[in-house]
Amino acid sequence: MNGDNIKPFFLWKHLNKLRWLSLISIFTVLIYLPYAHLYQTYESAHAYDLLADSEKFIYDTMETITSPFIDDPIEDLDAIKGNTWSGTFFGFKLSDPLAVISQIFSGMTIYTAFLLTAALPVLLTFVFGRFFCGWICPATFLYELNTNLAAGLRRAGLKTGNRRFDRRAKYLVLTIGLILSAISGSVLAANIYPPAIIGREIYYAIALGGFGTGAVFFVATLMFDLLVARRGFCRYLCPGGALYSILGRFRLVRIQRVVENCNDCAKCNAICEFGLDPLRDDFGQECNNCSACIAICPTDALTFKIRMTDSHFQGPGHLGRQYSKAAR
Amino acid sequence: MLRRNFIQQIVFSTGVLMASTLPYGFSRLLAPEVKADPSRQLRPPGALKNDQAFIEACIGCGLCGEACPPKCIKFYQRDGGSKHNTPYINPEEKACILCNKCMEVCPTKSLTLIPRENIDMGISQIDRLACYPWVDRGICGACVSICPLGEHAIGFEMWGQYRPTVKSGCVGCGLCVEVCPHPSLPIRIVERSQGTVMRHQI
Repeated sequence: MNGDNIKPFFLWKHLNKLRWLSLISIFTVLIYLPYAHLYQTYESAHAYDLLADSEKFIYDTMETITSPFIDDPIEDLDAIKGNTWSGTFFGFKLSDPLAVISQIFSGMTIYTAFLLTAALPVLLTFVFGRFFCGWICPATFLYELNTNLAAGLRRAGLKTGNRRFDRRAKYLVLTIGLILSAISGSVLAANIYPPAIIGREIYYAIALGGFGTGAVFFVATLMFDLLVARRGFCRYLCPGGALYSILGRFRLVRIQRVVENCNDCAKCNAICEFGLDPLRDDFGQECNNCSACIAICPTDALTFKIRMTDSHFQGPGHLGRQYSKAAR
Repeated sequence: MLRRNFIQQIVFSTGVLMASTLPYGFSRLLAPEVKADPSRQLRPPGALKNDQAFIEACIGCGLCGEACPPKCIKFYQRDGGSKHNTPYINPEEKACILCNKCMEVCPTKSLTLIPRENIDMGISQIDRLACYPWVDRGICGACVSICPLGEHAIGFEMWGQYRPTVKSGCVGCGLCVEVCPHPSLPIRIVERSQGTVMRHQI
């Protein structure tokens, strides 16, 4: 058109790398924390000579890693504890909104101090939408690796699942889960919410000598993703994803299509982990701002915009074949 | 044709409904209920006294276990039913040292920070037919010397015969259970109402 090609800010294209860095570092921290706890227990037992050789190895390694930053491991390593389900970060307690809401339903009481621990994640969700699913969730890291594995298997000639179901099923899972929590009086979401499972099971495996049942459930979801539907659990069943989608419905920061730059190649639709339709401006509440579509777009036709709602379908891309046909 | 669509939709929505309850049923199936000896599975200090209220409040984040310096807090990993992922302490393996860290770190009200004297995990009870000094098989006093609460909780019987006697200040941390040298573990942590302290105080 008349020369007003709006190029998106050039760094948005590299946000996806930053996202992978964030996922990897959070996963690494979740592996580091149980070892830090083991180191603390060895330290507080004051009996280095009685440790087994493997325990001495853990002690020495952790001492090498942490000694430049801290003086007293027993107190100072308490600064970061827990996982993404609930944790303390330099004295600041953070919890998953799903933990808070299922605890409210299971106990039928509101505990304000616990409610406030979810305030920051909820506020960030109001601004960035379902960003937790794409940027922080430790299960996402494994699920995306699983997606890459599925792509590799497909290239090798094996058939992987690519079914599609109704995306609204996860809201049903959330509702039924909260009702079942209220009936049974226990926080059921903790048993089936993958980030909670991952954080806990890594701790069980490293510090308590073995995986719990959550690992079985998580492997089942991985198989579901591999054999039935791509990212199926996150798309169709995850109760936390449903909660974040509802909270992020009117998010401020949205990925939007710049129709002047689009050439209708549909790579964004192919890369989208959540099966959304960026090509037809259909992001909806389930977009997690992961920016994979921005990274893959060959013509810089996707960018971040600050607005409350998605734009309606803007027609075919101006660089595409359909548009030139329509313009003629 | 319309009726067919209608039936199809009904079948589909029933399927979605059943599939959505599947994860919950699956998770409960994986964690069967176990009947465990209550003296081996104490709740951490500061826990809500009513166990059902504790299960309702606990979100299963594992923070209390991660903060515990002696690593005494374990979790129902492969069992527990509705107690699944909630913490417990088995004093026979490793006992609580009353350091308050789990209470400080817990985000919910399942563990609330209370003063050390008000902690109520139970009360210890000594089997006087097994304890060495009580059956005149020697001098021990291990439980008395380890007790973090001192003479309010446990002491020797009158005339100092090295026969340990539990007093009502005991909070049930279980260090005496851990340290007791007798192989049959004559000390147990029982409910405060079931303890025999009141009955045999001199």
